[in-house]
Amino acid sequence: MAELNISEIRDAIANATHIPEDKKSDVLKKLDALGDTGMTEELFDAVEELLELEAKLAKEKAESAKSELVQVEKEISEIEDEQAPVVQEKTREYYEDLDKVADENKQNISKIEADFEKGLEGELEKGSDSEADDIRKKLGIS
Amino acid sequence: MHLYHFDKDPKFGRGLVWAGPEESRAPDKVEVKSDQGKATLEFKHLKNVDDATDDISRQERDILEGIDSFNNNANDRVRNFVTVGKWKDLGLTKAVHEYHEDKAAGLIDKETDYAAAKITRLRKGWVRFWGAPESALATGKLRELNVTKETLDTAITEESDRAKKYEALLDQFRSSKTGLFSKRLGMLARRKLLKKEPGKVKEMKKAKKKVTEIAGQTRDHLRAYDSRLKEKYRSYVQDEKKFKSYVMAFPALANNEELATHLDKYIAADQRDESGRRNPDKGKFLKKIKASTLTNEEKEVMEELYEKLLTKKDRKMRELLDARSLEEEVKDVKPDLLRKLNEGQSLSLTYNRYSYVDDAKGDYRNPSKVTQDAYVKKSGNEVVLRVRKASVESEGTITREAREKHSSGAIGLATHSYKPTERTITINTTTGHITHQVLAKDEKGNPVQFTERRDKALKDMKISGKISKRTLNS
Repeated sequence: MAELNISEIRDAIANATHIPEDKKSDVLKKLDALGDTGMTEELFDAVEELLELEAKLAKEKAESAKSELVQVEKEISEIEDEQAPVVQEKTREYYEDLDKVADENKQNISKIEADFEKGLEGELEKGSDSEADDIRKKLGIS
Repeated sequence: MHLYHFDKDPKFGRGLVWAGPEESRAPDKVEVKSDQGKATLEFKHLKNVDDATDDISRQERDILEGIDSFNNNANDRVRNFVTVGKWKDLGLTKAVHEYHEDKAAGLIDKETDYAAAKITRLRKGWVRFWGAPESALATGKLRELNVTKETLDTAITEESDRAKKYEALLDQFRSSKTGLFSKRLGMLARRKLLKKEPGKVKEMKKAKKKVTEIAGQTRDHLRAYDSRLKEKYRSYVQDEKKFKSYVMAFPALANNEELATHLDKYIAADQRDESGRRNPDKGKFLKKIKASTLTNEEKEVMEELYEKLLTKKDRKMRELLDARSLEEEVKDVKPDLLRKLNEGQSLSLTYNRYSYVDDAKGDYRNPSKVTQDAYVKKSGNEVVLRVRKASVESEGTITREAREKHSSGAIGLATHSYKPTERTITINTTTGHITHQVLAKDEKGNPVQFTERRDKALKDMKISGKISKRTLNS
């Protein structure tokens, strides 16, 4: 394991989110005031205590979040168990309705196409000049 | 007259089929055959309104795209409808085609809009349905819970990571604590001894010679040397002290009285070269550490650290101190010497303890010999010795058969057993009278105190100890 240096220890304590501010600033002050004499046993213990506390509190937070999560998930599944059958049925109906729209469109379009073909064919098949004039007149083509 | 149609997209000849790209088709819609063999869709994966809304939005888009694509194809077919008639007038043919094409295209557009409007209406119905108070409440609650769930998920990850990070840091810190600690020990030694005195070994030899020289000389010389020696090896002594406090700081060792009492002795023993009977405590420290409940890692650290106290130079220092022989084993401490012992001086006592006691008559019978460690609590003509806790505890249960007054008023013999918790021995060095004051717990655990005073008992008590030469010579 790599050796820690004082600034790493300092950062770890400064960035801790759970340890009380007064303890934090006390140890930080002592760390900042360190000369080349090294840490005293007392300061070692204080740093150790804070690191331990931060780890412990974070663990506790995670644990309590976990148990809260279990509760929330339970509530979610309770509501969903009640809602799901209706949601699924309604969705199925909705899909059917959408399909109906598509089917209807398809039929209507087919009819439009058929009408188009029929209308076009009917007029093109007439053939005599007088009829052609009638068509011109009807279509407003001069 | 032939009418030619361009090839229709084969997909569109058979009703509405999926027209979009295959990969965008919602993957979670499972098509299954119902009992009647009819294809139905399963929606088991949809647990709540929001899921379903996402799902139907996708489906709406797909359907609309399908319709759009279908209608565009129809438009293309109408536009590209090839007309071959007997009309010689191509202009008229074209005009007729355009007329019908425009009409059909308009209708197709209208159908597209109509389909879109119908889907919009369907969606409004969906929204209205789920917007009803009961459903809306449940959906709102679900959304809220899902936000909470996400927050908790994040917190769990973040806090677990944080805990892991700080645990790792702590491990690292603890191991570097040892590193820094031993580095510090080494640094101190270097700074205070090696740097200032590069010719230390040579000087030590000289000092040793000097010690031998002055060993038989006057007390003044000894005293002067003493302070010089102390000054010289202060840092060593400090390191040993630090080491001791470090050792005793481990919870697993904090209550180890034996270690607390004898650690100095063990260190000294290991710093000496002799072994066997001449140095019975050699290796004891590590043996104790090995047998302790420390973790393997802590044991390793302890061994490593301990080695720092056993360098060649440490052994030299011990040699020097031994040569100086500050203490001498005195097998029989006479009253004169007893009187001038320093407070805190350790002694070993062997004396008779009696199980029949008649305090009133001063009648003591049924002796048994006990040996105990004690220290001088108060010196002077009347020396007060306090028996060390471990020795008191090892007395276990003692029986006292004593004459005492019964509740009826009659005086008779009564047997009691006690567990001593504290024993203080006062010796009058002039008269030789000895008084034992014992704090104990009786059978019921109640604290009791009794005093046994015996005249001229000092002659039966054997006192020994390692006593400083300074005291001996004073």
